[in-house]
Amino acid sequence: MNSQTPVIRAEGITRIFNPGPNEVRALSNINLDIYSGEFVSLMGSSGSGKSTLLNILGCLDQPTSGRYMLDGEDVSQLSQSALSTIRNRKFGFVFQSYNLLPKTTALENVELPLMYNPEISLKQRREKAITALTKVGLKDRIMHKTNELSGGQQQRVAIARALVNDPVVIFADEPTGNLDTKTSYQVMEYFQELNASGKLLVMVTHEPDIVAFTNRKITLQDGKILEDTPISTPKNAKACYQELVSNEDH
Amino acid sequence: MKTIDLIKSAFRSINRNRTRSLLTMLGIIIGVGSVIAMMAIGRGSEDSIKSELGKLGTNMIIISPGPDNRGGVRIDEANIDILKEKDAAAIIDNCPSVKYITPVVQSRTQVVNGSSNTRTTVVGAYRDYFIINNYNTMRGQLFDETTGRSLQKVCVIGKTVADELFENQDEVVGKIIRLDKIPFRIIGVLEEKGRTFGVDRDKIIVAPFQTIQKRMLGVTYAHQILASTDSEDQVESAKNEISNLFVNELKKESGGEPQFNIQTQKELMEIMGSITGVLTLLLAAIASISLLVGGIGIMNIMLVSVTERTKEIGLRLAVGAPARIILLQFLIESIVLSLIGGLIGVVLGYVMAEIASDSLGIKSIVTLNSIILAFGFSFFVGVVFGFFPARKAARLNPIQALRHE
Repeated sequence: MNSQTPVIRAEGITRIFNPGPNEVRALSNINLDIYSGEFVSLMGSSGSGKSTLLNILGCLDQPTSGRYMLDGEDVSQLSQSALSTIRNRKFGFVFQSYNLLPKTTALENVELPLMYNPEISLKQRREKAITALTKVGLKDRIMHKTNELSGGQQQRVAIARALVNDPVVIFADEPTGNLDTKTSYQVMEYFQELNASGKLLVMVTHEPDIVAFTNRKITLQDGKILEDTPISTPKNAKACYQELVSNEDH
Repeated sequence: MKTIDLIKSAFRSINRNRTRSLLTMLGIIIGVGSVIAMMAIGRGSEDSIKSELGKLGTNMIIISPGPDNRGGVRIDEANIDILKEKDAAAIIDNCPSVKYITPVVQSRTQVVNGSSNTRTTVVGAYRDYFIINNYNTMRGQLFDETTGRSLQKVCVIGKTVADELFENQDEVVGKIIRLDKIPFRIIGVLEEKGRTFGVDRDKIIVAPFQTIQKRMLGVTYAHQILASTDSEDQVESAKNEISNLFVNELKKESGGEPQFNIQTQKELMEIMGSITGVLTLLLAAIASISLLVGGIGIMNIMLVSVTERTKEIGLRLAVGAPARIILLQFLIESIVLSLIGGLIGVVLGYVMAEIASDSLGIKSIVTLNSIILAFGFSFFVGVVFGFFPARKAARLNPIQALRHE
């Protein structure tokens, strides 16, 4: 379906926990190509292996066997420190529970990934963080401490943190799991905007209405890909959000 | 991560748990404080002992007869007849470093003036005795060599003796007092010297050596010979010269090893110095145990902190923090914690030393060395006891750490 080289290519990825008689085969022989510009949702019941796959694709974990090619480079055998550099330069992460530093300003939270990049000066760091926060509509909240922000605002800070290093891929692990429908749509709106600007997004979720905003749906079951279908006409999150707001007004 | 970020993050996390941080630091504060206070007190007493000894005259060399066995019977030092008056003459003639010399005989005697009396030490010596011991006259004069040779019964008395025997201090010089029933004319009163190690140095009567030796004690020997040099540097060579002279001379006479001791004031000071040095070390060692306990406290709280912040560590690892930076972050936090403790401890130690010298009357000196030592030690404690928790943090698995609740 696409002639360019995939950003993410999984070749027979298998992940086994507790090797031995009680081994758990979380993933078995996953083959997957994800191309630039896609917005992929990983679905599946709990224990299906969707989080394990996300962790391996996000270089937080390594496959027991198989090859993981990232941008044409085999990263499945790299050292921990090489993996942390890849995460720092190429990836952004959004988590279900936001994972912001407590009692720390939004700005400092967004600056965090850049702190671990020695090539970026203090000044650049600040500028990039402010730009990222502006993108998620929190320009007037940069000096607020995280505990002074609402759930939706906290997740937007987390999104700003994920895109501050201008990543190749943004991984999101149930980003809307702790949010109400309205705020979830808002988060999806930012994700669609990022996707439209060319970012590749991989998101784990189990909410069907959230999947409808993505353009490719991969369903896992017992560590295998059950279904991999493109969504030709994804819903527009911005429109859905406005519809929801206007319904409330009536 | 830039160094400034690491230090900032350390201060932030210490500030976040202010009470806990302060309690953790308390161990280091008390440890550093007591090490500094103990060393200050030890150093202070060493100093005051040295200055007491210094009052006695730092250039003094004391030659005294050694233990002597006659037919298996140990003889009292006062009755050993090894040292003679001519030995003093031999020393001053043959030892170029020795500038002042006097043989000494002494005895405790009842002194009577009319209806008042007292018991005091009577010393028979040359005029050099006053120079060696830093005595000066307050009234009257000192005797000289000729008064001794002609066995004149004159004496110079200390301030305490004068106070005890006479009511009117202006009339003391020229009066006759009886030492052991022998009348002596007072020709001078010594300036007050105060006490050294609790001994009243003004309770003394000094008379010409020959007079005391022959008229009062009726002996042919001297109890001690005191010598002195012009400067402190010459003391060591003077001691060697005297030692060589005695070995050669006295060997010839007795045919055996001479029995005598030569001791310098400097050696005495060194002995006292080493005693107080050991005491200081002991006190500091005891105090440093609390530093160790403080270090364990830091390790304990850092382990708690790592567990509490597992999720934060997971996040930092996920966004690409290298493990060694995480290690550094927690290590610096523990170092900052113990250095702040050390800083407060230095102030506390200084205050404690001041209080000790003000209210207890103990002299205390806070030296720069003790501050550097205590501060350095608290840095060391921070590194050693912070390393294990920091390593624990750095070895966390990011996925498990992120899931930690």
